[in-house]
Amino acid sequence: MTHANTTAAPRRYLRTMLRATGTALVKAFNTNKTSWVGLLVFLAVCALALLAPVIAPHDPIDQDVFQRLYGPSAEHWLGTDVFGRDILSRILYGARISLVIGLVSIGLAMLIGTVIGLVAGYYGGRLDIVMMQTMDVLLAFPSLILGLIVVAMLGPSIPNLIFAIALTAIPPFARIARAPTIAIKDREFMEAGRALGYSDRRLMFRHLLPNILPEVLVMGSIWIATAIRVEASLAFIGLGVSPPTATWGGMIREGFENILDSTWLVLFPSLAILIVVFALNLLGDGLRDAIDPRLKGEQ
Amino acid sequence: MSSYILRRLGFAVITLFSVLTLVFFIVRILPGDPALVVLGDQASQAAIEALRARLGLDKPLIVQYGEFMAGVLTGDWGTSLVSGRPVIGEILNVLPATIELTVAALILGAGIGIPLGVWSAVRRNALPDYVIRLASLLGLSFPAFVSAILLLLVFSISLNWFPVMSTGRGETLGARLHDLALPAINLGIIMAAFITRVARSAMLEVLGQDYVRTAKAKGIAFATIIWRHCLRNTMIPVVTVIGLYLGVLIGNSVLTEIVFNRPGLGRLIVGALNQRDYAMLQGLMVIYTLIVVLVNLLTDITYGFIDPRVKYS
Amino acid sequence: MKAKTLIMVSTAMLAAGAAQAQQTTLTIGMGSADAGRLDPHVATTTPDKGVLHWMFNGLVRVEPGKASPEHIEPDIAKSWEASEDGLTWTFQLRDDVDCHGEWGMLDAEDVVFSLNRAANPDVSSFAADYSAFETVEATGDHEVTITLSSPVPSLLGLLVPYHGGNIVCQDAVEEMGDDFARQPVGTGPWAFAEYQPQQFVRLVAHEDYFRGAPQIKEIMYRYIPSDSSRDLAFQAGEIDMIYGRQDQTWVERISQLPDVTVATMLPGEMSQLMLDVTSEPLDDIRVRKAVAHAVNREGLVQLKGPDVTLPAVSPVPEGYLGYTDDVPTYPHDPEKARALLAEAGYPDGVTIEAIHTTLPTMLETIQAVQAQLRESGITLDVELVEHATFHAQIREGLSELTHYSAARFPVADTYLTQFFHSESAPGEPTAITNFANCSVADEEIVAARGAADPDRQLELWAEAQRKIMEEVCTVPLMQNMQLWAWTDDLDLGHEVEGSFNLSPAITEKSHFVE
Repeated sequence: MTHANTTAAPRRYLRTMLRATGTALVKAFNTNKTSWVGLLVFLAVCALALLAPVIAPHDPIDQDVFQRLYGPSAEHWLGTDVFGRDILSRILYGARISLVIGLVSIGLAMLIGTVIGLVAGYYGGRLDIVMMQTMDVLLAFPSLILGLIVVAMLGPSIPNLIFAIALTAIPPFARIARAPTIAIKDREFMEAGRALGYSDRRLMFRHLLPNILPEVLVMGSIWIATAIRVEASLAFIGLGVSPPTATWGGMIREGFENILDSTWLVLFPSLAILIVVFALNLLGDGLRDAIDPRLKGEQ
Repeated sequence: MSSYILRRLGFAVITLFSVLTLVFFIVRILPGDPALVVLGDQASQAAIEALRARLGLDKPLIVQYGEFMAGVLTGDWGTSLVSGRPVIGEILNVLPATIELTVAALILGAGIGIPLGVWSAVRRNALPDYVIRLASLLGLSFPAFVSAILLLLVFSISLNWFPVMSTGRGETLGARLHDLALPAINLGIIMAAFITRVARSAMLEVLGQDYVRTAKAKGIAFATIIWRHCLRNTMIPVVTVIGLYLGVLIGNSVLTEIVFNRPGLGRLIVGALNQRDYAMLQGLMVIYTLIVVLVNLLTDITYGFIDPRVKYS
Repeated sequence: MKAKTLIMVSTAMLAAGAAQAQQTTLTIGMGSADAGRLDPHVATTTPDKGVLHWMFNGLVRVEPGKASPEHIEPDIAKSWEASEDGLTWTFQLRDDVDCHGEWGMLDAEDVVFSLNRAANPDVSSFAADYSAFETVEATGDHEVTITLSSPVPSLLGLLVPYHGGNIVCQDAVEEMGDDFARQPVGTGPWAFAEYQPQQFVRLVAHEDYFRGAPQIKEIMYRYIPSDSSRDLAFQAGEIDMIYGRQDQTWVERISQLPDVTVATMLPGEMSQLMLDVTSEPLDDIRVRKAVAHAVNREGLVQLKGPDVTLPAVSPVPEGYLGYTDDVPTYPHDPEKARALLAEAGYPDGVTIEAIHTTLPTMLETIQAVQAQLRESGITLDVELVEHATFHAQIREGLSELTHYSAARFPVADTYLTQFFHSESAPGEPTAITNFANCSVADEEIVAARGAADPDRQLELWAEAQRKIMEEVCTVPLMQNMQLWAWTDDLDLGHEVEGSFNLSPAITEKSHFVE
């Protein structure tokens, strides 16, 4: 019996939680239709990035100095760069870097931040003070500056960039997870759970988490946008993934050197960043409006 | 009120202290011995020892920590390993340019953002609201260097209204403003986007309050309600956001300074990182921390003045 | 609305300010992020050489605008004579040479001090150039005698104000100590006034300059690393003279601007990939040959533009006295490169680590090289660092492959000694720029230096070049002309064909015209 219980319970729990979160999100999506637009655009970009090896017309790092700085044409839809590399292909491959760094770093930050917020909020007291004070200290540093220092210290590689960006994004998640935890932890159902002798861990992750997950996920979408922007900014400063790997920020950095004769070098990757970041913001913003308790019932 | 301020001050001091400690250890954890970085791998052991002694690196960590803290307090922030000049001097040299830029961006941001946010809230779900919301979202989506490049292309190159280089050292007020315009607009747009959104949601919340409904029922003119009663309450979140987003602003000022070739803390830190100037880096982290902690403190205190309820919390 | 008016008013004010007085401030845009070392006996980089150019004199100089040893003319020395064996040289100095600031008049002692300083490896990057100097003595208030232990191919070339030939003021160096490198004192037409890190170096006219007070009163030497920003500022008239991007498209575009002079100056800087023969996997000559075969020189020339680049095949740049193209060459052949790698035991390719500068023009070249090497299975792992750090780190021997771009006094000896003599290797007390740790041609280089017969000297130099290429210590890529542009409002006062100092000569006669 105990055996059956331990295997069935997590699955049931997971299902319940996903369903609850899913319902909340779908409701939010329907409340604010622009979220759908954001989601669709973002998914389209993800699909393009995934399919890059299949749909990219050229090798993104293949140089052809006899075709350098060509404007948009049938052969190169978005033109070529200083080395004769195909801009469209580089943008498609660049999307992978941006998305991987954005998604993984924020995924990590979300995980760590939420746990910190839950634990701090649930136990309260001195632990709460120490944890949140640490978060405030981290938060005190401008994220780009912190990223700059971490990447310059560790060297520009994808894992290091992910680490740097995740580090800057943990505190906001901790904060957003902590507030509702404090509000909910003394409600009747939690009291009931405690009376039944549930462990703290079970209470936190099974009963508290579902209540705060929608909000955390919504914030996640906005932070992915920020992460993509920060990655591009670091690359623009020269701290992105090393050449010849295509990154959007790096392409803009290189294109900036030819901005007078070949504006498209800067224009297309800029547009790419703008589209993704805007889509994510649209998505997150609409959802937040719908989930924000203060604005609830104001439809 | 004063106990509130004291408490905030206490928090600020604790934060400052912890960040400074963090800065101290981060700089010491950095890969590579600063002395080795300065002198090179081939330097003789004697030369390295001598430089370590000069930099105070041969002392026990705890002594170094004490000296570092004492140095920070007394304004002795060490000497730049690259230029050989006092770090604090180099920082103070460019600090006015950064402050000038940040303040100008804040003024622009608030000047554009608050009215737009209020308008958007008042005309909720009407055309102006949609346009403003989309525009502010778009403003948030622009990486600062992309908007800077676009501004440069349009206003400096095509129209030739503003200089390409913002040297930050105009002699007349007019020249300074002319010089500052594009970088400030670049940062100001992003700030305005933030503020618009916060002002809008704050205003919406206020508009839903009972006293506003009561005032409406009493037949007080709508405009009066907005200006007299709502704005004050809208200001609290706006002030918070200015404090909170100062970090974003500082980050974006790095990019703006690079594109416009403007002197400032941002270019200094990029240079210090590139040249592995540890002393300079340490000093810059200290100044960034000081600025952020100070602004957070000011934000907290401003709350107290705008919202009398805060003193009880 | 108000803001707009304000802007228009201020624009008008600026315009008015510019019109009312003859321009006497020359603003120059340099393509680096910051100054490196401003001590003339230490500085080696283009940005530093460029600005020091206008602050110092030598015993002799090359006529402004020229870049060939036959145009050497008097500078601080009025006249000179050499003994028959070429070992004793006596220089008569001018007596009206004034040091910048309050440092007094320059005399023979200052010259002796300067040349000894240039020859001292503790304080000079160029000490090895002066190894044949036995003594430098003041034989009168204004007379200096140099005694050599062996003849030097071009003694006068070592005395032009380029590298070690820069004459400094003794009192200033001694009293200022470490500070001298931050505010150098010389005797040239402009004096150091101010340095703002990552922003600019400001020079002011040296009113007591011995050739007469300069007409340009102030030089703002701004550090603008982005080529584009520099071009934009130049186009907008905010900068009068810019360091160009080494690229034909740049020349073509800048030439189209109205009222602009574009200079393609000699000597070109030669780009080469120096291969460290002591580090794995480059210690295997087959790997080095593979690198040489993997490089496509034509592609690189195409990238930079054939009008501003010359392909290079020898370790000495074309046009230098003693140059030969009769050396082993390694034509572009990826198949052969792969075969060589397989033979060396790397059938799956090799990885070579390189430290490289972020300087855009050089970065562009290495990225192209990186792509070319990749086709032959050679992965070039490039670690990017800022230009000054790059120079520091390669001098520590940290880079397996070093992409170096340089111009030297155009005599084969300087290039061969500095880049390929074993005494110039990193780690040696006399280290200069032999990043390859090359030592195969030591004998010929030294023998050529002392050869009395010019034909024999040429032969030895040619032999050295052959040996170096046989050993593949380096893969010469191309010579890039120095590209500069300035507004036609600026009259330099001479025709510019070239410049050793990596910046156009600006003299006391240079001025702005209406």
